[in-house]
Amino acid sequence: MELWYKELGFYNNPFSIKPLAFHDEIIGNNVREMISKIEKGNVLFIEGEYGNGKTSVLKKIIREFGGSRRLIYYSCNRAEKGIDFDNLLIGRYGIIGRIFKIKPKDMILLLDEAQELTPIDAEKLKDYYKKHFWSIVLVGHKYNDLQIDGFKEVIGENVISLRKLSADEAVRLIRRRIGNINFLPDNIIKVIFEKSKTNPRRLLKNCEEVCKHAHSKGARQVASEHINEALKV
Amino acid sequence: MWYESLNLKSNPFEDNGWETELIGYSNEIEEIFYRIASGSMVYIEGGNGLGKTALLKKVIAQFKGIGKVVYLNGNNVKEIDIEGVLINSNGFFGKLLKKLPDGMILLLDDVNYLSKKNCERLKYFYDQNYVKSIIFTGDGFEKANFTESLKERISKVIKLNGINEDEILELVESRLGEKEVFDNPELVKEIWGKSGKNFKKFFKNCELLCQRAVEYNGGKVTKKEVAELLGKDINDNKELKEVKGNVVEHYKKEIEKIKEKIEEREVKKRSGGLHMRNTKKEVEAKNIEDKPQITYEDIAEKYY
Repeated sequence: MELWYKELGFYNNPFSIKPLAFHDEIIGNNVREMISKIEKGNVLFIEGEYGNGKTSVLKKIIREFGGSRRLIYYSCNRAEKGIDFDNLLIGRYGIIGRIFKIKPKDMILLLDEAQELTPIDAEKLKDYYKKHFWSIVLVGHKYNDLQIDGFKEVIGENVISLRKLSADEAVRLIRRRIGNINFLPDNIIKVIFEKSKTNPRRLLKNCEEVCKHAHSKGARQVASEHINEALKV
Repeated sequence: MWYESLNLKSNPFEDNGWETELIGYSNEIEEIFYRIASGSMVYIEGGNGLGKTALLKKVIAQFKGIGKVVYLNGNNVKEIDIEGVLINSNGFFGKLLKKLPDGMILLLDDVNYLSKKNCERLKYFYDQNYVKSIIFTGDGFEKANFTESLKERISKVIKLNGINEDEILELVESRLGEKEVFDNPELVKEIWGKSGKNFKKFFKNCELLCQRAVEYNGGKVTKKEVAELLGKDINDNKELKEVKGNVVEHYKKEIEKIKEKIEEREVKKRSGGLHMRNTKKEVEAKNIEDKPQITYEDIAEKYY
């Protein structure tokens, strides 16, 4: 069985939904502004619906500061008994740092899945802010759902909502992945985007579904009937 | 053994999904292989005995050479340490450096029992590409206690509907070869129906019938025997039920004894009679205590 994307000339699945799989530019959201805020030492909260690219934005920030050895990325859902910030900080200087327990200053902390942050951890984080962390970026589902009132003061006005993509931006997103091949025309992408309720991740998933189906039918170009057949469920 | 007198090398109704062909699931298998290759998550939905584990075994057979496949059964444990499993799968040096492997294929059998925290962790590993693809199985996608963000990432839910009567005939023929054990094909269909269209039950019933046939009836399964043995279901068979009951009682007593022993030792320990000396027997006993997952029914099933 030959995979459809290999026959079209792609080595990997071009519609992979893993944030790490492609080094895309972030379409539709102003990452530059977030980065300048981080450089000024603010605490940011990035909120967005499922599949709107929260983790992708984080990845972009990581690439921006990569190499400066100032970044700590942590996903709150990994923590079982609260987050051990000391351990995170000490780890930065490797074995020597561990022996002498050196804690670096002006680090940038990226906290993914911030809705899982417990009030206790948030209080601790408040103490560490400015002492060891130059800037903190929290990424979560909804700012208003956050249970950590004390910490909200620190965030202040720096709540950034990821906005939805427009249809043209969706086309650009897909084009970044697959280039200008004729197999998937622009108008078809727009239809799929609408069917995906303008959710980028669902768009990628549905594009994969439709392309796979169209290819199995032996079509040279995706047509609207392929969309209906592939996405009927 | 009974199957030897039918000139068969091994028990034709043994559950050995590793080698045998899965009949009726070729589309599903193709779909699963594709999803793994393209790096997606899949949920295989189906009731007991519909062949979920057999499908996973197929996946293992296909991908086992690359050393990237991890199979976990969620049925026995509530908390799985996914991170630990991934580190352990990375060989000796991986363990030493606590390095996470990349591009793993995770097969999670019966995942409805996983905790939310674990699901979140799975999502994290998937996003970081430590895990390339995950195949879940369970009896209902809606019932599974996944977080919304994990559910969003699952590309496809594959529903297993079981196979039809003709396919079950094909299956029996492929298992028995040329031997005509069953009087007529209708009989096989009848057994299939009486086994509740459940593979595990069906194979058990077939084995029982064939065994009887070889021992008492010259290797022929007739309608009379089917009616006799499978009045309704194998659980209605009085003789078997008694045996099952006895086995359960026996093991209940055994476990009670072990519990008493442990309690005795605990008391002694507290009163200072026994210091921190863990005898081998005690460790064994504790291990048995630690595994409450094995129910009496499980043990009984092995013995009847």
